[in-house]
Amino acid sequence: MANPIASLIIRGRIIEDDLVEFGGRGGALQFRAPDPHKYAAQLPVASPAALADLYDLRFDDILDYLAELGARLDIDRNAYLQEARELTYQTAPTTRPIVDTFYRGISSLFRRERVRAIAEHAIGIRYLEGWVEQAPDEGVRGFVRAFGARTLHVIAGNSPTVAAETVIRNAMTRSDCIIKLPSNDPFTAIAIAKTMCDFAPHHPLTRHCALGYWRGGDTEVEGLIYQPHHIEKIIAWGGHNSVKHVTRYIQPGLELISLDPKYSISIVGPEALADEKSLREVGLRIAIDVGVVNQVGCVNARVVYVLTDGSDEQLRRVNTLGQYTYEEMVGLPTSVSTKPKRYDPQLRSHVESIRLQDDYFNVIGGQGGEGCVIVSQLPEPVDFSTSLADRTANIVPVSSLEDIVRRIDAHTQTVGVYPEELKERLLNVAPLYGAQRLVSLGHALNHPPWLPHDSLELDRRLCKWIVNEVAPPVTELSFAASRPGATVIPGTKYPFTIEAYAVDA
Amino acid sequence: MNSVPAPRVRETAPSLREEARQLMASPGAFFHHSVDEMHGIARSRLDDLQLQAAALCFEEQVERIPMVAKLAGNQGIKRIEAVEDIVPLLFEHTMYKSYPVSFLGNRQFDKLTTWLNKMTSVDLSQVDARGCDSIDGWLDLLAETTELDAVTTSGSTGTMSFIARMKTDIERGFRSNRITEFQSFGRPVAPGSVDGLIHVIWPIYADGHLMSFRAGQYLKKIFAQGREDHFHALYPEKGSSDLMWLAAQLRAAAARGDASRVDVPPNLLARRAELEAQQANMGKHQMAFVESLAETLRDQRVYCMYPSYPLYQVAARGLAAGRSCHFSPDSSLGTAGGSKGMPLPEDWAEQVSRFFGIERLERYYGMSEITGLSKMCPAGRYHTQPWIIPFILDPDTSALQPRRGVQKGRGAFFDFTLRGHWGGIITGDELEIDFSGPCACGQTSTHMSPVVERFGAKRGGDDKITCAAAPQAHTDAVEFLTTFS
Repeated sequence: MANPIASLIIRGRIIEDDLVEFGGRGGALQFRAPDPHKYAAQLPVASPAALADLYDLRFDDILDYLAELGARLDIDRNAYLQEARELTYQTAPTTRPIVDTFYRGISSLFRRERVRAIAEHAIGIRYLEGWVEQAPDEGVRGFVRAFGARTLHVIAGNSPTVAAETVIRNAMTRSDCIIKLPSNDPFTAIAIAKTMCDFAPHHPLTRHCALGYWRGGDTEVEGLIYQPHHIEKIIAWGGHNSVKHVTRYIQPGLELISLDPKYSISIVGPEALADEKSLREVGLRIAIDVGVVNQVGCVNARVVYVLTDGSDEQLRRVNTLGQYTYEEMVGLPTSVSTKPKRYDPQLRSHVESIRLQDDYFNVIGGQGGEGCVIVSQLPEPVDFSTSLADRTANIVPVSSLEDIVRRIDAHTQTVGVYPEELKERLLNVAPLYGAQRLVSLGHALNHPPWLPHDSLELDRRLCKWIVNEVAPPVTELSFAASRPGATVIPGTKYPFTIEAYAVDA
Repeated sequence: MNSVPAPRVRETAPSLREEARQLMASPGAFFHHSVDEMHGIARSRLDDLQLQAAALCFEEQVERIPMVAKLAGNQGIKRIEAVEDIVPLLFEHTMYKSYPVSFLGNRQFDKLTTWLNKMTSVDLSQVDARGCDSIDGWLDLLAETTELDAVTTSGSTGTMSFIARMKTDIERGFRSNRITEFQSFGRPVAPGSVDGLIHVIWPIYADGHLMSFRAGQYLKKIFAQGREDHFHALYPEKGSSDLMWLAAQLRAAAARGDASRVDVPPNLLARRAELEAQQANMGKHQMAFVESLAETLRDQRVYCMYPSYPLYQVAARGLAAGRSCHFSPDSSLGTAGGSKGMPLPEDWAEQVSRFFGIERLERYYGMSEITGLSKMCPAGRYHTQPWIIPFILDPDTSALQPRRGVQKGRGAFFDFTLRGHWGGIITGDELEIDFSGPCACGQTSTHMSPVVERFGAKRGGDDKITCAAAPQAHTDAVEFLTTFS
């Protein structure tokens, strides 16, 4: 049977001709796609002026479109999405039940209330709709409007929601997007775009979306597209690997927004060890932040620091906490967490080696590749803590906050904290070391989309913030003839403008 | 009158158990120092011997090596009755760096000694390492006061592995491997191959605690019979493990994007000037080395076996200086270990052959944890030494694959000659082993495809700093030290 086709979707047109083979190495997905060399020139929008049709839309029209699109992206009724899901099962890092959960959730991302909330809180709808006066001045008035940009999105393929979020962001900001599809999941974005073509092929929001697959680093394609006269911004997910092909094209006029891979931690205060009830509750909270979506998210916790007084008794309780965390983790509902698809063999080798070093490490579970909890018996994480994955958590007993914060750096994204009082103490300290998002333990996997991401205001960053300055009229002016040999401009609010030449009444 | 016949004195053939002991004690002697015997032994006989040897080795070591006892206890294994019984007892290669990293960072060598003690049959409980303030100092102490020569390999995550090798084990390994290095299967054996005096070419530091430095001293003792004038090292100094540690820290810090947290050992800081001077002399040593190979060793019988990158560097230096070598045809020159991530040009092997004046380099596969060096035969296959039992495990689950036919997966080995540490190791390599009949070259030993890949590398993981990168890592570390304020 022939390999599936990853169509090229160019601004309302679905292209499936001139197919070439891609992928297949090392178990990767094999698919056919239209030869990108033949179509690269058609991907960028013809000219910047072509974005004008987006400004005939009101924000409510945008919401209408997205709501309609969202309704049609019901996994139970959308054949394109079903096909994408089927093909993604193979390459997704998570298991079928979790993939199903992701696809079921796509539709609700497009809800009117949600998109409105993102636009309002992250950007301010009035900025999208018109010119908003800023800091009124008695003289020159300043107005700002958020315009869309011609943007290239290099998206990650390990979660189908990224494709949906990209389409939503693009529409919301009245931008034009070219989406470079990832080889591990080209199909979700295509399914969304095909749905757009189905119900509104000529709508401006459909026409300002192009997507396709080409090999990252294909200079013939990228050299053509990645030029300031074609695109203004590049947003690249996935860190170094996706960015390394892109950086050579960055020049004035082409802005790069790079989202690097992050890792996340949890911090637990000694209150968790006080009694059985707390141990149980905190065990569940940790299990959720570690185990939901099988720890594939940047928000998932990997190392869990627990503050103790250093006594043997508290260490015993930390080990108990580890046991409860493990029990809760393997007991999470399968729609959000399962035995990992494949427990990384390198990680397994490390875990099995330290399992035998029981003076220093207590390894709970993991014999069946289901994930495990490693409780350090000394106040340090395992040496391989940055490669923890597949539902593997490392609980580390420490005696001071200092022990924890010195291990926080710019790669630390989410810090889940218990109890709330401890989070208060960390609020103005952890960010200094690099932490970007503090949450209550157990809430790591909920990221309100209108809040900054990785310490960036992503939605604002995707806009171009354009300024209109309106100067008051000047009635009478003095001209050069009346100012022979003048070397000094008389006192005025705006010495460098025409204001300086107004004749006072 | 009945006469009672005189009792016939009959020599009892040694039992299988006794033969296995002989094989364990000296593979060389067992095979009469002949590669034809070593790689011509009937497979069924070798299988029997290997099983006996594995059983004997386990019997001994389960009493002596705490970590083996622990594994055996956890698995409920009391004896070895089939060779497969060994598999649950194999150590992950990560075992050798399974200590809390702070022990090294805080220079708590007494705690590291306690950790190391669990993985050796040698009793280290009387070793007082509290006064050691450097990795080299600690390893020197072990080497000077015990039967161990603990060697290191360094890793990119900043973790060093420590393997408690017993000196006699290391020696036995070199002597045994010499048989395959200096003899070709089915060909006449040149005189002196087994124990004659050989010039040793050592394209790295003369000594040090990295296995790839330390081995030189054993080669000097065994092949060069202790003679300095027969041991030719590129750099006369001892390569520093502390420098390697610093280099690994730097690399890990660079990967994290934060060099400010690198912990610089005070003893290295104190040696800044000395190390800088060593750096400055490197070029001079390289030229002198090239000269001695090309001139002093003209027509001499030499031995050189080293990873490819350092060999290539020497060859490139030599060729650029317009020099080339001419060694005696009964020399043994080879390479093992691959490029280890260092940038080798396509024609590196041709350059090495050209400089060394040989038709081609011998190829080998081996590792620091065990003694068997697998040599590539004329049919292009690596042959496992008879004192090594090879296994293929499932790459994900480590389940044993059948020891029949051709199997591909994670390589694992058991070296039953080792007394000082446990010879069972699960590697990080993907191997393809043919367990079926003799190879096209005629040798009866199991043989491996020449294609060897690291699992970590395949899945975009590991970025190892290894022995072949040592000079560069040293240089990086010294540069950092000298600019450190």
